[in-house]
Amino acid sequence: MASVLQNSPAKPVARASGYSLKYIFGVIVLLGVIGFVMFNSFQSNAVYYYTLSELYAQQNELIGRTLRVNASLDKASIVNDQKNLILKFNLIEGEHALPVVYRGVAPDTMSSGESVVAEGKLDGSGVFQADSILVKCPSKYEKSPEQY
Amino acid sequence: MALSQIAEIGNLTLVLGLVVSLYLIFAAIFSQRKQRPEFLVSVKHGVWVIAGLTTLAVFILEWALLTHQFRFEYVASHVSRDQPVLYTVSALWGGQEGSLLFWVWLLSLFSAAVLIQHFGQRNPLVPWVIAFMAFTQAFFFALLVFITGPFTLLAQTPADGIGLNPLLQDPGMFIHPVTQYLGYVGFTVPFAFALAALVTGDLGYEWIRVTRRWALFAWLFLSLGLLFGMRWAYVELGWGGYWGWDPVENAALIPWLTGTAYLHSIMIQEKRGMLKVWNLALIMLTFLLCILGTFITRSGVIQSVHAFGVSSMGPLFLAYIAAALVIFTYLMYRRLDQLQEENRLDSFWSREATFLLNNLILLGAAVATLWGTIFPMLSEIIAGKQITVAAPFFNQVNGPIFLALIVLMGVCTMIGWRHASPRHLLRNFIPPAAVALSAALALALLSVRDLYGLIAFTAAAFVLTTVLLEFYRGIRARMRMYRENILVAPAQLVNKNRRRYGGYITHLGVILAVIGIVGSTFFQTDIQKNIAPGETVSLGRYTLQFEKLKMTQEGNAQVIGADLSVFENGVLVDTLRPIKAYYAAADQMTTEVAVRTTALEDLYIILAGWNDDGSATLKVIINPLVVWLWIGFGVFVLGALIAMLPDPREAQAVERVRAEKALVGASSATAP
Amino acid sequence: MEIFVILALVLAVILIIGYPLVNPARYRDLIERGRTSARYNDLCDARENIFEALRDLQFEYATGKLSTADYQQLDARYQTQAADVLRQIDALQAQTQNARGRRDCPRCHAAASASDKFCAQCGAKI
Repeated sequence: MASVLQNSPAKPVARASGYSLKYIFGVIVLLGVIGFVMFNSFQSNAVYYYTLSELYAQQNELIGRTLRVNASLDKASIVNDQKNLILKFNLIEGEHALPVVYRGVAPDTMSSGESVVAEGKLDGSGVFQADSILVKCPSKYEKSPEQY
Repeated sequence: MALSQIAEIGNLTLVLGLVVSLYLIFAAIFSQRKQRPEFLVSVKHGVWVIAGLTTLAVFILEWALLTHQFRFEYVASHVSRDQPVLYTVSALWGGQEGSLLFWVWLLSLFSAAVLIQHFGQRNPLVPWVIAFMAFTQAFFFALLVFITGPFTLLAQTPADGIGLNPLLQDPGMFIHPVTQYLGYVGFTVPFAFALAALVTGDLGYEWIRVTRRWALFAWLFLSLGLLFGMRWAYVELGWGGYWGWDPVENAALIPWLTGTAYLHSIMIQEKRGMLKVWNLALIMLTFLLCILGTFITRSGVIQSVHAFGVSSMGPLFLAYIAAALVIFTYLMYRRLDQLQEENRLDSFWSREATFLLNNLILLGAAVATLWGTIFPMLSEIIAGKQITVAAPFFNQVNGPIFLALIVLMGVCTMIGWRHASPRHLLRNFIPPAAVALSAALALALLSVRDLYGLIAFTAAAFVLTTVLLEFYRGIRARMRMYRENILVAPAQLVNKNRRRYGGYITHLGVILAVIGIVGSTFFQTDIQKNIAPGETVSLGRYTLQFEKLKMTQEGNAQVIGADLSVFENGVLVDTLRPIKAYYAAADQMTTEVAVRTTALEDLYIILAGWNDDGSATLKVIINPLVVWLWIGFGVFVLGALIAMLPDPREAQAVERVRAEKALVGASSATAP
Repeated sequence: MEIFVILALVLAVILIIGYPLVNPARYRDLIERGRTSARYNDLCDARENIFEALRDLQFEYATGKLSTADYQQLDARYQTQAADVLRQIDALQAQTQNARGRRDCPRCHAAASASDKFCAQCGAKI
């Protein structure tokens, strides 16, 4: 059972190689299943990160695909319709400006936000329809929890 | 003393801490290699010195925080004058420098605790344990001295500080980091013992016996960290849920998963002398994931590679992890011949096999979660393009994995060690299966239509029955064997075998939590509406009448609340006030939801916004059964505590005398 | 003022840590004793583990998870293992007893004279 019993003659001895093929097979099958599930849902859920210049460079192919954009927030452009819970703002990068529409409760940090990560789809008219937004603040807070 | 001198002394404690830690590594190893016990005694003194130094450093920083010494950069950025005292205290672990100091302080206290526990017994593992803990301490001291110190002074004294992030000003956030760090730091001890066992070659029972309780301790605090974190997210972040699979949450979950696997598979090693390499690997993995967790939480590296740039701590953390990994793997390789399996797996239908399966599944969940968490970083480094996965990925992968785990939990309790006879297994299997099926049928008749929810509830019913049945059989056996009455037997059952029944109680807690999670995940309903005073909004059995908006000043925040009357089936049952608070100093808004909790469901109301005409926009959510998540956690903690308690001396002594008497015959019979 | 505090702190640290190195002879037997006591602890743990396994086995049999044949086979095996460990403990105790001329109670570590059959403190068999 332990090193203290190593010399015990009564102890049944079986060495590591004692695992038969069928257990190893079982383990492989299990790992295969987990790996497959992982791979599969990874394929359908992977979301690419784009900067605005990358986004505009391949705008036509990206329409309708789920993606993430990360850019500076143009604070002056924020329009928060609280009655209908529609939040509109522009993300800017160089000469590019991307209008974003988010339906839902605006994050509390919106007004003090510096940059925004938005996940969603680009529609045909060039407006980004966000499903979730993550606001990043300029502060030193190391931990700025994610908000949906 | 002038402020600059105090800061100077603060810095000195850290430098001294670094020097003494380095000395400890050398002295502890030297004392063993050259058989110089006086160095061992010196090491013992050194551990106390470090504990004293870190305590002094913590004391200085806490003093500076509480007395608003804003010339300290750390104080100025984490405390403001109007901040409540509670959060001034907790600012110690609210920022990067402070929390690193907090880490090293806990570690120094744990080192001292290890000495108190084991030095008297002259345990030969202890010098090596201390050597490794000093190595870890030296790493954190080096971060504090060379990279990011908490005692940096500003050129001028600001009139007021920025203050702690208002989002973190919540009782949950006071306690959450403490428990999380106790868990993270706590796993250093079992890892250090495993390392020491590998170095000395004393791979017998000693390190397992010692590590089991420490691992359980650290694991319990990781669990509490998860609980308080979830609770905080639920009441403070205001999006209606408690778990969003964000990197920081995942960083806390992953070591918990591997730690859970370790606590299970270590039992097989104790009972059957199997899985030795596996257990060593698991404890290593858990510890390194704790370090990784600290790093992820502290650097924000994954959430925001673009925004923060590469933190200067990153390479150092990776170097530390790599060093620990290489040393441990090398030692393990060198001792492989001593880590041979003493028994083989007798049958698929044995508890060992189910434990093994449980281990693989837990590890699978850990790997999948880790993969999804660090993939953005990996893809950025390798392909220069960040690819992220969000909640749907984690749900799709971990959902089935956790479901399998739950079912296994039930199967495992029904199967005995080594080899279960099919007849017994079948007999044990029928009642829980029958209960589970009737539960499924009843739920279907109650028009529960969500397939996944239905499957999960059925599995929960199955496991719940097996655990309760286990208690019933145990109580019955005790009543028969020891002639105890119905009141004594349950208490004695748990008391006499605290590990086993503590474990079952923990399982019970998990199942209750699962019921809460399934209920609130699959059966959540919500509505958003803008309403003027006097108007109502309805959801399910509830009707909310909006009375008025009210504005007040509370502490350091301006608070706007919406007064609501809650009617359940037309009867006034409660008044609620969801609020938004504006913190002027930090220029930040926080949401505080109003929650009405019953055993069946939570009514969860968010004030999403208000308008000049006095109307308010409300988001109302009904979270079914969510209270059972918190109750389940309570039961879980209780079970873990029971399993942690040492077995009662008195009872053990009596049992031992009895066993020894019984064994005298066997002993003389087999003696040559 | 500041320099004195710093000096005092540094000096205190050096003194506390360096003190044991001044007189090494005092700690000579620490390591040898450690080795014996570790082996002893290990054996005691092994004994506890086997006893626990025996209790568990009995209980599992009583709750109907084991067949009678399996129970008897396992029971016999654990009994042999227990006997083996107990014999090793006895040998180790005899060895230390010879070395030191006195014995400790195996359970509570209270000192006992060589002629004692039971511990005066806790009543355990010596």
